[in-house]
Amino acid sequence: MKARKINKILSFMAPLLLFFIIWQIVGVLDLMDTTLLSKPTKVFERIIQLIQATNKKTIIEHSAESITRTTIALFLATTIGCSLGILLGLKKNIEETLNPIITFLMPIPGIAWAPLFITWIGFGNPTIISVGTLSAFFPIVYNTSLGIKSINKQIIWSTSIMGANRRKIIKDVILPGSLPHITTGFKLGLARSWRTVIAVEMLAATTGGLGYMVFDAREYLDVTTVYAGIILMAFLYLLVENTLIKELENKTIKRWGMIT
Amino acid sequence: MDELKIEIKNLTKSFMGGEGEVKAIENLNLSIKENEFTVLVGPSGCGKSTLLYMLAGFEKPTSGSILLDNQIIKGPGPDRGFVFQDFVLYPWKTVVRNISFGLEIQGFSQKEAIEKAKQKINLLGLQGFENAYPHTLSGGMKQRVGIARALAYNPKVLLMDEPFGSLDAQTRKLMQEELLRIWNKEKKTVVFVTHSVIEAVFLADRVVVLTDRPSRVKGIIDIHLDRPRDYEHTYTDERYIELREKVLNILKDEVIHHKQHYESV
Amino acid sequence: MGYDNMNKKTIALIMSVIVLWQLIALLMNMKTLPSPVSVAGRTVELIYPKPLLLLHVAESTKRLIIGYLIALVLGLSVGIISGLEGNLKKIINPLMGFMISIPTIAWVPLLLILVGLGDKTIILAIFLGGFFPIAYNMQRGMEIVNLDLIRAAKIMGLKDIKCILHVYIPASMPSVITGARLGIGYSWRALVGAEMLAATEHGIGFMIYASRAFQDVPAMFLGLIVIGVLSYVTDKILITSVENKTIKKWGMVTQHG
Repeated sequence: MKARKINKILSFMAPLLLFFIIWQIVGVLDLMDTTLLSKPTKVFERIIQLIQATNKKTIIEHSAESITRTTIALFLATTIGCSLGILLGLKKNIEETLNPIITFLMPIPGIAWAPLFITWIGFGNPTIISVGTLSAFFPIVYNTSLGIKSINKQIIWSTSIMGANRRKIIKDVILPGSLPHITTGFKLGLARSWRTVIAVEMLAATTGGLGYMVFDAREYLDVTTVYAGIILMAFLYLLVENTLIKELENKTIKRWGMIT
Repeated sequence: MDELKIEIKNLTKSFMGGEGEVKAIENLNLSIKENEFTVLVGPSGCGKSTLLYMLAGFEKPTSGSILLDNQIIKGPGPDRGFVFQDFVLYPWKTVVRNISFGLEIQGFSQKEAIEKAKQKINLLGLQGFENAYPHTLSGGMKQRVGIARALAYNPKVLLMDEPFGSLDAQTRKLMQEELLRIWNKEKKTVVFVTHSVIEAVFLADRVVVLTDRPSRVKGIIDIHLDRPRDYEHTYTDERYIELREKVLNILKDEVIHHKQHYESV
Repeated sequence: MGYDNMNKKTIALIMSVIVLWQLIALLMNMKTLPSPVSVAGRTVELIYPKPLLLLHVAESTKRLIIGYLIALVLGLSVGIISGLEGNLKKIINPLMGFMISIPTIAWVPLLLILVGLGDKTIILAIFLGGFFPIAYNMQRGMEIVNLDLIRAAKIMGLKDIKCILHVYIPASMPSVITGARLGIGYSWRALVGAEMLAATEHGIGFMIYASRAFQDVPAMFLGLIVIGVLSYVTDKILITSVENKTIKKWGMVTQHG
């Protein structure tokens, strides 16, 4: 079991390593303009430097800011999105009214709202978190209501014949039954809020965050820091997806055989 | 034994289909006695499952009425248990929690409910699988859980909608014998829907043959075969074979009618 | 009849949303919530006498089409090749898993250094946004093609390119459509983000961003509405029509993922 896990991580890391080695060779042999291409070793050094930085924010502080914003945004989006999604899933007439509006707003990229929110509530955290929340809200509300609507009618019957009231059915059957869809919505929400927070940080952050860090580095044509930021963004996302989310799925819907 | 349990009077059920109103059941009358094992058979697509759904209270009659213990059925309730063809277990509950859930709804504490559910675990031969999740079980085992769940809160009537329809032939035979053994122990009024005549005659006290849509009662055949029944003896019993032929003959006209109807459409 | 009914309902809904919006807007100031009338007025100003809005839309559409088409062609090709070659897949798959986790917008600062402001950076961002989901889903689609379909084709003598065209691609069409749909969503996001950070004069993202300097809230609303409508059009007209002509007609189900 453990050996298989290690094997899996290795087979994921090996091609990445290969990629970094090729990148390094190209950099060392000066095959392309190294000021623009940088080198993996240089990027690695830069990450260490940025961790130890004393005269400015460390990369850890930048990451922490982005993570905090995403967490708050995702929490708000999940709370509001799930509640509204449940309501829409249960009440057909409300759903029919709101669904076209949600369908229309859902594909609008989060970042498109940013200038509007900057005008409304100014630069910094309020705008970044609001836009992050908005972008995660739509997939969560959509998938939650979809999950509730697609519950097998018979599983509700099988509960109502045992004398369960509506409240009990909602809590013990409809909610766990729509957990696969809710999880999908949550995962989309995580991806969307993370991306949006980083994007809006480029436009509206005044103090920090990974998006702010890479966009700021651009001013000094500091490609190495940009690479460091990009790699860290992917790394953090993969880490959360493959530990926290995977673990959550393994303990619930995967264990119950509701997804393969 | 002879007390009247269920009375169906002038029952009609119609649906709104793609091409207007479709009548599934029309003016159906039927009485079922207490602790009787009644099997409904009919051509596929006739209203037998719909009839069962109305007995369960999942669907409402268009006109006419169904009385259970002289009370009109208004909706689903714990005086009945239901077993589905596709099991319809709760994937997120273990076997024992699937079975105890009905008792918890009745107001038993979780501990008491699980304690009581253990009896049904033993009755259905599910020992050792208490903490397994449904998706890890075979079809036959899943349906054992389905039956245990329906029996756990001790309903008077057990409604079964082709419960063995998605099992393989071997398991199916085994489950039929198991069901008779359990019925003999628990004494319930059973209404069982199937399209298999072999199954119907093997299980039933009475086989009710329904007509093609709109469904009516075409004939009722009393099955006076000795109990307990098992495959080894009942199958070779001449009376069994005779009864099977009798039911098949009544059904045959309906199946032909059904086929013509659908081929003409 | 049902379709007509639905259209009527949708129109009624849009009308009531606009009326409600107008009523709420009357209670608020222009900066917070511009009324539909003022947004409509701004729209007219942006079309006549100088058709600025149309220029923005045309510019964005042009960039989207170029970037997305490149993403589609390369994404499908990479997906097919890595789907066919097991060894290649072992290398490409993790790389793709890593790349797909990078927020598309994060490429923009890099592209700004490497390529500079303007069209090239925006189109590259659109390409990067669309490419990975398209390639990933194509490859996944190839993986789950029923082997018997391939065997049946091979025994009839179908080979190589023909086998790919006539069996692999139609059989993995649900995944192709999922990828195309996800891809256009990602491309849209990349377009708007990149236009805000890298556009010099035109584009719908640029329009929204530039409006901020003048506190021109009606123009921002207009921009959001235009993006909503264009997204709807690209999805419904383009992807859904392909979906209807292929997998819906063939009775296959769309893969979600």
